[in-house]
Formats: sequence, structure tokens, C-alpha cells
Amino acid sequence: MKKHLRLPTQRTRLKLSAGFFVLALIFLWLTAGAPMPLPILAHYKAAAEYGMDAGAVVAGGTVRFQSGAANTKGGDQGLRWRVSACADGYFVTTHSRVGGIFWSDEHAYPVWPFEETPIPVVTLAWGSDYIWEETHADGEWQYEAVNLVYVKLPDVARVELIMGMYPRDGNDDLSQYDWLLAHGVSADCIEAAPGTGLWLGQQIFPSPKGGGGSATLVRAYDADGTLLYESPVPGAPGFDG
Amino acid sequence: MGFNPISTYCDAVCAMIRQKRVHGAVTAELTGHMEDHADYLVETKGTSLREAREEAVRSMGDPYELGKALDRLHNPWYPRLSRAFLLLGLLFILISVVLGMGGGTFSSIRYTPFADPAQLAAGQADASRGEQIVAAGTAQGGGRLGFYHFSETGAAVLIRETRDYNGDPIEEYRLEVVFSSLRWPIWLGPLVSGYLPNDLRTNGGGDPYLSVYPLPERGLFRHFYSAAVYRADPAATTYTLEFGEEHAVVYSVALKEVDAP
Repeated sequence: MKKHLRLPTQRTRLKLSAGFFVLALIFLWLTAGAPMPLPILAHYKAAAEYGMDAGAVVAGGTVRFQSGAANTKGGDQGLRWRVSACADGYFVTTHSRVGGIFWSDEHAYPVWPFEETPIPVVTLAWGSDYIWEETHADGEWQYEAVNLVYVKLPDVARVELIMGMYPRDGNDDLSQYDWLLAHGVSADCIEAAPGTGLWLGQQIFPSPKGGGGSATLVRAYDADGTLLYESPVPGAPGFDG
Repeated sequence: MGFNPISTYCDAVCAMIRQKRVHGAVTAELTGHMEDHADYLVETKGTSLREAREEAVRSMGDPYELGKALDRLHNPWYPRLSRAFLLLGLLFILISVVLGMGGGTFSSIRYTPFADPAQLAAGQADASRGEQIVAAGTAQGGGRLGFYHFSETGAAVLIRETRDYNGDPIEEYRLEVVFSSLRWPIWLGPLVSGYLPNDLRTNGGGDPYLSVYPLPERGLFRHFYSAAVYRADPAATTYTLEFGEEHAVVYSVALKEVDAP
């Protein structure tokens, strides 16, 4: 007797194809690195991958550049950042959009104060902007940085962040410390969340001709303006490398 | 050809069914049923064929009600949705493959569901750079770190590498211990162990240091890792390596010299 293969009913075919669709969707999501629907979920996913026992999120926000870096396509403008309490410090992540509705982690940093760096600084976002005017033959680059500073010292009332691009050539034989004091761009940080010791700094600084490397100096003061701490920078008093 | 009430009835029924591909089957089924009924009437009651067909049609009831019922049964959205799901599913798989092959997050990943740690450990020696396996062994231990459950066993090889240092050849030894982890939830990537504390103990000397990193090989639910001990002492035969807080993951490694190939 000739046997015919019986086709499943339409309803069964619909169920099978819907199952295949869902599995394909999950496969695509996993292949794309399993981005999360919310930045906070992406934050906790990153914490799990870093083996961190992350607690509640204590601070967060959106990167908004103030220079032309805001218009750079594919730049850090609009990054979301989240900070959660973790052991003796914090776990910091930045997140960018994936596929319009999902969020993946761009950077992740556990931040703990160490003996040699009691005030750690984390760069949340970095932007660049090319400025060109008709009156000048050449344009110039300027940079904008958004930094998060973790200050665990007591009695700190003000945190100052001095940044700049320490030139490879033409630094007038100044040490990085002296050059920052003379040419660095200073900004007073604002508290990211009261009582957490997290401070935010944002500044714009030009790029030197011939290039250079970014240099950062952190200073913490008490309410009377007394300097409590200065980060170790080459050339600073007492800096031993 | 004269008027056939059966085909008129079938047309009326099919007019109510939106899924056109079933019209033929419905017409054949209804026609067969009504023709059988008409034949029965002709044979038993001596009714004329035309009257018997009309009687058979009448007994079927309202064609529009029957058509509506059959339309619900043969909902046209079933095949349309099935096709759409199938095509979208195939498209997603195609995008996944393209993402995986070029520039995607998993572009460097090699899916090897049945990978053998011993083979992976042996693969860490780069013959093109003159690296040679001088000892091999096993790792016992494992542990749990957050969502990651580390395998109880692993494989280890001691690799000799000869490097050129300012014109002088220098010999260095590197221990590679390969093990794996299972994790749940499955959407987590491999453990990033660079910020975790680690510790190394050995019966050898020297100044070795440990670095744990994920390998590109990946099983369906498994990630493979290598714990590399740089500047290893070739005389050392046992190592104990740990990473994570409070001895979360511990492996004890015992090595045995292998014969030169």
C-alpha cells in the first residue's frame, strides 16, 4: 500500500513556524551579544560577567557634550552611565544603544581606591571635535572628557580636576605637573550623588600641535579650601614614579 | 450544459471562504457528498436527477452559514503568518551568521560543543614561534564564582619558548591550564577575570605570575578559559592557582614530563 506523508494541519504549521521564529530571534539576540532592554539590566549583566556582586545603583545619567563633539556621529554623546555599590567601591559601566531598542555595555570598570591611587578617576566619555575657521590655514582638534572621580577621603568639600593634552614637543621642558598647572583646563566637579563620594567633572581642552597624551590632576579640598589631596603626576612634589 | 444546483451551491459556499487554495478541495468534498445523496434518492425513490440534486442541496442548509463555518476552519491568516514567521526566522538566522562572521560581537568565537580541554591546552603551544610542550598533566579542583560554575577537571601543559633578547636567545617557560565553566543565565558572556584577585603557589622557584583569560572556543553552554602562568620554573611539578574572592575557584595542577617528539 502506498503511504502518503501526512502534512500537519495549518494550526500545527503555524505553531511550528512561530516556534522557529522565536528560536531564530533568540539566536540573533545571543549572536549580537545579548543586549538588554534597559541600561540598568545591561549594567547588572556586565557586573555578573566581571564577577562583581553589584548592589543598588547609586548614580547614573546621560552623557551630554558641550562642544561640537556632541555632533560626532558614532561618538560617546548620549551614552548612559550607571554606578552601583560593589565591595569597597563601585562598579561603573557606560552603555550605548544597539538596534534602536537595546543597550549593551561600552565600558565597565570596577573602581576601588588603592594606596597609590586613593582617588581613582574613570573617564566615562571622550569626544573630539575639529574646529576650522576660514581665517586660519589649519584647523585644530579639541577634546571633551566626562570623568567620574571617587573620593573616599573624609571632609572633602570641593574636588578640582585639571586636564589637558600634555604635548610631545613644545612643552617648554615643563614636567607634566607644572604643564598642567600652567596650561591645563580646570573644572570644579559636582557631586554625582550626595554621600557616595562620586564626583563628576566635564571639560573641553585643545589638542597641541604635534600631538600629545592626556594628563589629569585631581585635587581635593576641605570646606576651608585647604588642599587635602593631590593625585600623583610626574613632576609633582613627592612623586616617585 | 444545464443548470446544476450542486455547483451553484458550492460556488456560494466558496464565496464565503477567503482562503482560495482550499476552494477546490471544499468543492470536491461537497459535490461528492451531494452527488451521493442525489444518487441515493434517484435509486430508492425514483426521483429525477434534477429534483434529487435540488433535494440534496436543500438538505445541506444555508450555503452562506456553511461557508462562514468553513472560512473559520480555513483561516487565511494561518498560512500567511506561517510564511511570515518562516521568512523572518530565516532572515534572523542569516543576519546572525553575518554578524558572527564579520565584526559582530562573537566574530572571534569558535563554537566547539565537544571541545576537549587536553587538545585546547596542547593548542596553546604555537609551533610557528618555536614553542614546544615539555610537560603535561591534569588540573583538579573547580569552584563557583557568581553565575559561573567551573569544571572539576582541566588539562595543563608546560610550554618552552625561545625568544630573542637583544641578539641572545633566552628560554622561558609558560604553564597553560585549560578548564571550562558553565553559566546560567545563558546570555552572560565569559567571565572577565582581569579585576579579580588571584593567587599562585608552586613547589618551584622563580618569579611566576598568573593571568586568566577566556579562550575563543565556546561550547553551547560552556566557556573555555586558560590560566597562564608566565615565567614558570621548569623544575616545578605542582601548582595551585586560585582566583576570585575567598578561594572561589581553585585548581591543583600536577605535571609530568613528556617525551620529545
